[in-house]
Amino acid sequence: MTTSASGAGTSGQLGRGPIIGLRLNGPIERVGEDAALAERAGLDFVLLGDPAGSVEGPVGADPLSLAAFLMTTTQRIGLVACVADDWAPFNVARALASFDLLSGGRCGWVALRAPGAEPARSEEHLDVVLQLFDSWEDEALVFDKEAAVFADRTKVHRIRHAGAFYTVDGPLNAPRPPQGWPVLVQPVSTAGAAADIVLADFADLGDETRRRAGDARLVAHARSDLAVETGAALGARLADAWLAGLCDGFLVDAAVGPRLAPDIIPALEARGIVAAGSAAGDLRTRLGLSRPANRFAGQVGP
Amino acid sequence: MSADPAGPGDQLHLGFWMLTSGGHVGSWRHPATQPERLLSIEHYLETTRIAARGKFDMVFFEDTLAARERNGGVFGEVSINSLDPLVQIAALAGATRDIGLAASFSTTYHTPRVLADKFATIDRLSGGRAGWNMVTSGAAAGRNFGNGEHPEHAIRYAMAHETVDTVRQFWREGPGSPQGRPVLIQAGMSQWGLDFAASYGEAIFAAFRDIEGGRAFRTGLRAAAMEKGRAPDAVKVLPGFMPLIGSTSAEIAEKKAVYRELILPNMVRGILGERFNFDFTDYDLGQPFPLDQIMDGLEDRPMIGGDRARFVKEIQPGDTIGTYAERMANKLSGHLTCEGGPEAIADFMQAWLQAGACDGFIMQALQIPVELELFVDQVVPVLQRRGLFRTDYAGSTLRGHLGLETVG
Repeated sequence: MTTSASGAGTSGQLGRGPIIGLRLNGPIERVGEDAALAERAGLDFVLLGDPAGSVEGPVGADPLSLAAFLMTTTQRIGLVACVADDWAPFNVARALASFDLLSGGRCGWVALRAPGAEPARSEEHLDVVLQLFDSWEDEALVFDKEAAVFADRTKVHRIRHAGAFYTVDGPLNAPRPPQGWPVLVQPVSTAGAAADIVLADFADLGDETRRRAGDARLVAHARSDLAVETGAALGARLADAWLAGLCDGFLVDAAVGPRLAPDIIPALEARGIVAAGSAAGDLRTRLGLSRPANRFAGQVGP
Repeated sequence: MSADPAGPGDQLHLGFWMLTSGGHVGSWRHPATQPERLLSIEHYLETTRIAARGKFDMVFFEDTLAARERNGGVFGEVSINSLDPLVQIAALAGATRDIGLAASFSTTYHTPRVLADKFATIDRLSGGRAGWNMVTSGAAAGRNFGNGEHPEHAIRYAMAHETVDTVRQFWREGPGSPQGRPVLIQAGMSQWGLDFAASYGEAIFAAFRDIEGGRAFRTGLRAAAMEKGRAPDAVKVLPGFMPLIGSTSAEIAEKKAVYRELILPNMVRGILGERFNFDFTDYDLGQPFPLDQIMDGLEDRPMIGGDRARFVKEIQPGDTIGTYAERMANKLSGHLTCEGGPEAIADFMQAWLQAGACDGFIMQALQIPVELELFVDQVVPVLQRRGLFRTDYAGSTLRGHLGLETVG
């Protein structure tokens, strides 16, 4: 991340107010209900898992499976899952591409470095995942029943990756996700140039954090220990930070109280902030993010 | 219920094999298929709801970890996408009730922790409806995971034993679901596979040639399970099965012709190219097989669906490329098939059940949803009338549907 600190948020360029997500960290039985609440409240996304996770959670609360479950219990809201890089890149790319396809472009993910993993391995892992998303060109699926051509094989490419940590031939056995790449979220401590959203602790907002987020949207994580008692008070805290240009959005822990969620956006609006992106279109569109180009577009041969 | 290894079950168990557009390779070109919907969750949701209307025990997803290929590129003439089956069953859990949700996932290319976590989560979210078909994956997967060397068969099964033991350990420590833990399903018929099935398998996805083969396998497996201290009814044998439903011989002939015509010559050459790793594009189908040239490149790049030597063995003396291809194109499925009206299909299924040759079937449909709906609307009522199949779900867990005990 090389972009210099601007001090002021990039929010003005977005034409929209802050990005707002709810982290569903309550019990598994509450996930469906809390996600429905977040959707009704007009929030942009829900997030599953612990983006600050430094240890493995309990068995039976897989963030990606929880997010996939919500694909059919909700209609529009973005679904963001933490995915650690101790799962092979082919598996990660296939699961996320499948999710984005099946949900019509509602998928985001937090790329988490597994505890103890080397930074160079994590960086190569992410690189392979992104290459696999590109292994099918956008126009590769033709569905020409008359000529019996399901896919144009000249637009599907092997990635032929042979790196220090991974050897992956490809192509993926799923076409390119509708968003090109599902929305990529990274914690500020491990964020790289491909991040769409960088997550930082609310308490760490400031010039240094803004600088490290670079061109990515900076989303402040308001954890459950943030001392607020009402949605309006929470909204006021967030509004102050956003108006000061410290960040481009917020991730609020449901344990702060999912009951506060319906009050966040009205509290922002009371201060003249237009919150919530358009509910139409995919998650990238909703968040004002551009769609990545495909590195293999136009390449001849597999 | 029977403690006799050869004893038949009372009622059928049915899984529906969820392939994208159907079990027939040309089904994506069928007039009723909308190929662009094969990538949306709505397609799988509607299909699962049809199967649930037919009171199926479960829907069942296969899995592959490489794209289908022919002649140095992807096999573009067929429906080649294979989406992550766990993402699919997790999504289906949110909008379906009662019906079991089973998916294949590799013991070779996922860690025990990942497997335990994902299936336990889906089992909890679905209220105890999850099943895991334990697969060791085909050789084609190797190229996408590390050094490209797929472990040999015996090593893969040794790994699978260890992986499943560890997964079960994780599950014992976790919170569990109303069925305790996911149902363990297994496909695989070799000696390693049989020992594994007798130890762990609760539903066995099998492939049989005839009723005698089914009976011998099921009796042997149930006896082997008893030797390991398990009840014989704790393991169900479910062969693959594709019915062709047609009430008159004219109707059957017409349906066969429709499906045969869905396979165009470029698809035939593609299938041959995939099977033999050889480019048939410029070959006249009236020529004999160029066997010497085929043998040279036969094993260069492993294929999905296995062993090319098996396909070479199917070439008969006097075969031209075309006669072989025609036989291949007319074969509806590599699994059991049965043609006839609803009563005849039910007769076939009843005969297998009552001979102790199976406990039910994993059913394919030529086309999804048309042929599944036909089965649900016409064959299921016959089975129900004969007392061979449930008229409603008695419980809400997959273990309950399969007549397996809840695991505490």
